[in-house]
Amino acid sequence: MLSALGVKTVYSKIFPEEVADYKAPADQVAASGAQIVVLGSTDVPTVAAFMQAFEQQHYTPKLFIAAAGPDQGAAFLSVVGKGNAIGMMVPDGWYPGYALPASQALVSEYVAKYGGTPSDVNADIAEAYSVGQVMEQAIVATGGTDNAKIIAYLHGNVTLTSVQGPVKFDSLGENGASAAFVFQWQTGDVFNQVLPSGAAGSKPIIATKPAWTS
Amino acid sequence: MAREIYQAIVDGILIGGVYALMAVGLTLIFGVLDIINIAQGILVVLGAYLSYGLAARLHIDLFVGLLITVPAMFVLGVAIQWSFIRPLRGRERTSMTLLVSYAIALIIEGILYEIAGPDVRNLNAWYVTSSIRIFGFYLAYIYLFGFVMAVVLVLALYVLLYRTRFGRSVRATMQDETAARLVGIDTNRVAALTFGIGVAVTAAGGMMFGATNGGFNPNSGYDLISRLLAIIILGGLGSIGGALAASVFMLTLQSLVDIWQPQWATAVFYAALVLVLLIRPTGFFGRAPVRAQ
Repeated sequence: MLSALGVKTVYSKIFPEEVADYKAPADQVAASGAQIVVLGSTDVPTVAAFMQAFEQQHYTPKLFIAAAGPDQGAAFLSVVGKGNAIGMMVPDGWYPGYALPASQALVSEYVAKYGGTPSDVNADIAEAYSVGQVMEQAIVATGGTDNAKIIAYLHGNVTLTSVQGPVKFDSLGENGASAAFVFQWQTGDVFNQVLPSGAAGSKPIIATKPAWTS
Repeated sequence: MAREIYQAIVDGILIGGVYALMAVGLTLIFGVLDIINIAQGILVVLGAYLSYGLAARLHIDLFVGLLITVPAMFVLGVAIQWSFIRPLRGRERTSMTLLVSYAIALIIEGILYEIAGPDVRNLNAWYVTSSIRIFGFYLAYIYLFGFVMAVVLVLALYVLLYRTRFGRSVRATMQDETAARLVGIDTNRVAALTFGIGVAVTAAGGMMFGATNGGFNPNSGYDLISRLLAIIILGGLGSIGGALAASVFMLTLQSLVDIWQPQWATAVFYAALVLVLLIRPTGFFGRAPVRAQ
């Protein structure tokens, strides 16, 4: 799809998760001079290692989208630094500013208990909470904790609620009702929804990532 | 393509220095005590946390902080050897030390979780993200400093082992513990001090690991141990210089594979180990009668 729009791929490789050190592959990405980097990262250290290597190579892509890591709130900021975080993007189904009353209540209670700001709240918090919510609804509906009944119920085309929005599992167990957004760290240490650009809650995207600031 | 190859070689050499700092302690301990210290991975992580504590709480520079963390880890190493390793006797000693060192790893990991929590930390300083341009390549100061530190450390350990009275005691114990005891060497003291030194140098490896790995938490040690074991086996068990040579060889090879087929880089890492051992079963510098050199 991107190729049809004129985007040229200059580097595409698959790395094993247990790779010893990301410096060598990150240096190769930097040498490619790619304007957009899409990294299939699995955690904060992976994306932080690439960011560190890019900074060492004096290379800042215009857009840097990581599959995981930037959605980890304060844990991400503390590792990469607030200045370096600006412009970092991540796809996800939830963020602390999600305009759902139950989500807003969760974020308020979390900040009240653990401190920080809404942007510090890790997406894992909402995901774990949602699992609990779904289980609670399944247990109430089936009248117990029988695994077979719960599995049948969850695959029974029912729509459940969670702080991440509606939950409806398809035959593969995927939540077909979930929303998909792209978020970005922006000036002021805030984590904003930026895509889809016309969706409610989306803020203007920072189209050119600022230079590294360490 | 030539530039990519040069870059990969430079990266491999510099990253190899980091791994040498983590592996040297492991091979030294094996050389004297004949045990594989499974806790080496978590000791690396502990070294990273100690550096983090000094930098974050007391604003002590990472390299200056080694003046505190290295002695602290030495004391810890001596205490571990005295409390857990020394009491093990008999034919089951080697296998028991595997279990005991694994238990030590779990204890340290638990303590780190209790104190620091599961959040990812990293070490930062101006030289962690800065680099110098040489022959068209940006070389990060942290790797340059780390590589120099690895070479200096290996030389210092060489001098300690080959130019001091204590070193003669260590080598005698390596060759034949019973004979060493018969000529008056306090082998218990040698074992305790050597374990302490092995753990102490790991503090330097831990600092480098924390500054170059993108982040660490108490769980980060498990990925390390298999690689460190592969490195010290390839270098020759007990060989200090072999650990440095094997680290550079393995990481350079991996960086080169990264250029074409990165998904095979990890497999090649271990395939190279098997291949070298088929040709030279004692590794690069390993010799059965005298392992340390």
